[in-house]
Amino acid sequence: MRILVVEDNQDLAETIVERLQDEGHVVDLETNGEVADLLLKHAQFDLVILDVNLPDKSGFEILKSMRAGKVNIPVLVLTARSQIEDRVLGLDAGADDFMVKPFDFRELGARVRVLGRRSAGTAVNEFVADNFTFDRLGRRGYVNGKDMDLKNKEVQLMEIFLSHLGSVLSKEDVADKLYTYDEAPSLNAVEQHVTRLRKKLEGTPLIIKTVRGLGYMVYIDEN
Amino acid sequence: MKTKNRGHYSLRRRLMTAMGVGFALLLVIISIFLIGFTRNAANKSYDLLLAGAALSILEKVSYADDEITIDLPHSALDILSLAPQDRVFYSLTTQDGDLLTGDKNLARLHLEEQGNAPAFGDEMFMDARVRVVQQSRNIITPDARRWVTITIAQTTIARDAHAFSLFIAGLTGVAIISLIGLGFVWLAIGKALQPLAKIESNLSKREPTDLTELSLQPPREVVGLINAINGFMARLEQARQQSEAFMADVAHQTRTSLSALQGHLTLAADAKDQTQMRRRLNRAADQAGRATRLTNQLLSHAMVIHRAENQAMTAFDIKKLVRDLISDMLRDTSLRKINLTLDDEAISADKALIVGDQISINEALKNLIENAIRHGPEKNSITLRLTRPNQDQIAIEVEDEGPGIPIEHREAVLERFKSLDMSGNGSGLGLAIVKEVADAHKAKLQLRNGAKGGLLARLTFEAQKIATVLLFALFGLFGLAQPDSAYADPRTLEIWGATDKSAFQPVVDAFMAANPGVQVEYTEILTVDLYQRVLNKDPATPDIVMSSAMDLQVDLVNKGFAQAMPAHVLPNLQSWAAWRSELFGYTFEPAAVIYHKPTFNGIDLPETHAEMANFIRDNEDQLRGKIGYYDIRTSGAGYLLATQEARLSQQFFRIAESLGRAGVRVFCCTGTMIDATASGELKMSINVIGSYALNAVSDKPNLGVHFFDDFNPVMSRTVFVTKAADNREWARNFVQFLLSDAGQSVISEKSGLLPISETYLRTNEASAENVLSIDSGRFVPIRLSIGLLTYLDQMKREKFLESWQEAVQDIN
Repeated sequence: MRILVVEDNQDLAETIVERLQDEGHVVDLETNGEVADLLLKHAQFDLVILDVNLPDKSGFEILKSMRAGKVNIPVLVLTARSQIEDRVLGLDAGADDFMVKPFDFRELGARVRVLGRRSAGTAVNEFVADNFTFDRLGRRGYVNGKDMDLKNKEVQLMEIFLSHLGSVLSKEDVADKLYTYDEAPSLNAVEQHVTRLRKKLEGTPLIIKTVRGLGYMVYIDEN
Repeated sequence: MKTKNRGHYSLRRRLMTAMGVGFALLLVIISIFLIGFTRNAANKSYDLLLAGAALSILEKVSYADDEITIDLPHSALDILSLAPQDRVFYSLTTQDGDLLTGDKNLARLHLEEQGNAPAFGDEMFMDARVRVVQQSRNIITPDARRWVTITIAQTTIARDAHAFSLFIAGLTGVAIISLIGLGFVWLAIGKALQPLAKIESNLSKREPTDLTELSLQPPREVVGLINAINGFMARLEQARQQSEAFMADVAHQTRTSLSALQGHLTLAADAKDQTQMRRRLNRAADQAGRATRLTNQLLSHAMVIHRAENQAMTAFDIKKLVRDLISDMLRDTSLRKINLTLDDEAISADKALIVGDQISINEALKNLIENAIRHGPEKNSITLRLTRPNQDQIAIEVEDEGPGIPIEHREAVLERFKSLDMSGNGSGLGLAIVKEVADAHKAKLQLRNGAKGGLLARLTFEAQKIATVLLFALFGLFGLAQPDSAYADPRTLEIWGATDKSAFQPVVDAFMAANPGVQVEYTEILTVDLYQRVLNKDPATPDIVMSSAMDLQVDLVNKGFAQAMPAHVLPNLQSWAAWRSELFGYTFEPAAVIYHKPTFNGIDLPETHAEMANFIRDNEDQLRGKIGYYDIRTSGAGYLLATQEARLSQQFFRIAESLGRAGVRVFCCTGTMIDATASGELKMSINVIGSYALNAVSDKPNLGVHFFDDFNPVMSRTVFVTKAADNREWARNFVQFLLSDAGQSVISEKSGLLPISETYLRTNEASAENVLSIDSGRFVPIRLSIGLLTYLDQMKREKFLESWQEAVQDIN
């Protein structure tokens, strides 16, 4: 993956870059917000790691300018303040994820991989995680190369989950995305579809976690 | 620290206010007693007057010529006129209810107890509050014993004033005592507050670090305060120690953590091989994690405290906050093993609003969840539950499957750096943060055992109530003001008077000249007619009534036909010629003897009444049929002058007798007598209204005016504003004008009447020869008072006229 890190603290920036390079990514570092903004409009990246607190231009401004220019690269926001305002501002401005400093580098790596998978999948029309493959174009899923024989709704469900990897989706959100206005969305039906899909995903690293009372979260178990 | 800027209340003022209210209450109670007491006292004194008057009247009741008669004593009404402002009514009735004399309306009034002793009562009569006395007397007639009852009613102005002055005197005394009492209270409060001043000086002299106990010997009442201050200082000292301990703890924790980290790193640098280095570096990383967490918690703790003091609370949806928090926490890949459950079904509504600081509450919940994770097993199951314990509260519960907290430690874990797991990952700040947030929101933090054996932490907040505002529209009704009904022309002042129109017109003209735009309509009416028409409530009753018949005027005022006017605006007012601020005399009318000058050429006229009686007797033949006198049966002024003279002098009936023998001629009017005297038809006329005579002297050189040296009764023409006056303002102005210097000078110079003002009387040309002045002692004024009513009494009048006629024998 090609990653742009926008971080003005040299020490932290270098550590991040080194860590990501170790994990096999191609990493560019930019300490200046203005330059980063320009760079994002011209060069192609798979992921941006953006510090909020930059000296010349705030991370939020860069983010807004990106989203205004229809640049849909996933963005991971880094903030030093654990306040809700930052979270809300970041997510509203179009951030895909955020982390509060100081953070665990292993966690950073995991988050980067999740976001990478989200964008990479859409680009190549094929999502691969260990023995699991999902062909977006052909609308088919394979475990160990064997067709999972996914039903129509299960394919839709798969697409919804894969585009929200690593974040919580409420049952209502899922129902809204799964059903058109004409169909009567039923939370029970959603549950049944999820149960069936979960059964078919057994033996793959793809986990559909149920958060009771809230919804679902799909993630990839890396162990 | 927040300073609450509230106004200080004064203990002294509060006590004084309380005492003041107490005293005021006392004053009210005393006032109530005083009112009763003073009324009784005033009644007692003034009832004596009433009783005296009643008794003196009853004494004069007699049986003669087959009927019960009364010779109303002058003293009776004179006694009552000691209350100068009060009106008096009386009636004398027989036991059958027949009115002998007096007021027929009053005769109908009966007090409950009657008899030989006077009975008193308070009644309403003629629209006024009156005090009534009723007393009966047994009269022995040839047929039987018969009862006669006198009823006297007197208005209560004088006794009210007396009661009021007694009341004020009493109240003033009590008020002064109250004030002195309050003064003592003031001093006593000062004395009582002295110990507080000692405490103040003791505390203000202290060093800020001196938190030792106050060592004072306080009075019993202040012991509590001293104990409270000492207790507070003890707690302050404890808090200070805790704070110091906290600082020390923070320093200790942070430094220890960093030392450990440094130690691990140094060891790693000195490692002999790769494996050893890796192991030490892992430990260093763990230690760094702990240091990070400790720092986060310290910052979080500081932030929560800071926000509790400074952040404004807002209403927000706790349901959304909890959902967002869980979503955010689950992004952390390390939490994926944990089984999280949100149970917010108890909150049926879309939103659960509470008022608070979102960030602090978020921080508190995060700490509760992190605690649950840290202290729970690897495969933990954590439940977040939103409940409504009652309509006004929302509770958030975090329940885990960990070991829980033993009941005896639950208090302690809420304190800073009191983790049960100090050796491990616990910073000892998590629950302290939660506690701070709960306190700042006046929420309740409870720790108990959960259903699955783990810890159940519950935060209970007050829910935001949604107030419904109802708007009421009010419709006002607008009424149109009704136009005033037409009044009598406010610019025409109507006057009825007994004075010759020609004589009075100059006064009216002068008034109209001084008040442009006012029309005065003067109607001349004879005194008795005037009296009758006003008494019978003639609808044409004017604004002003003027008459020379003082007694009739007093009767009209006594019966309530006049209205009061401010007497202080009236200059030249003579005390004898004013009654009740309603009736005012404006002229000076002495009785005079007029004579035919040529007849008495060289002969001195008698100087006293006694000499006059002798003079007439001695010259009986020469004067026969040549002496003029008022026919007092028809002339109001003549009757008044005669009765007053009879009161003043024993000589009255002697003169009457002499006049009778000399064949006195009686006249209805002054003018005829003057003309007859001037022409010589009469040699002299006695008791003639002097002002007319003096005025006639200039035209009639043969007319002489003579005043006695012993006494000459003086009448006054009187004026009052009627109660029914349409034009009260101008009517008052007119009366004021009559008595003003301008009015008096016009009366003196143009009307031919004599002014009442001493100043203008002295400069009047008539005064040059006769020294017309009350002060001279020769001129005795007839006072305007209740006493004038005596001779208006029907029986009294009959008796007087009878006696007079007997004296003068057959006339005309």
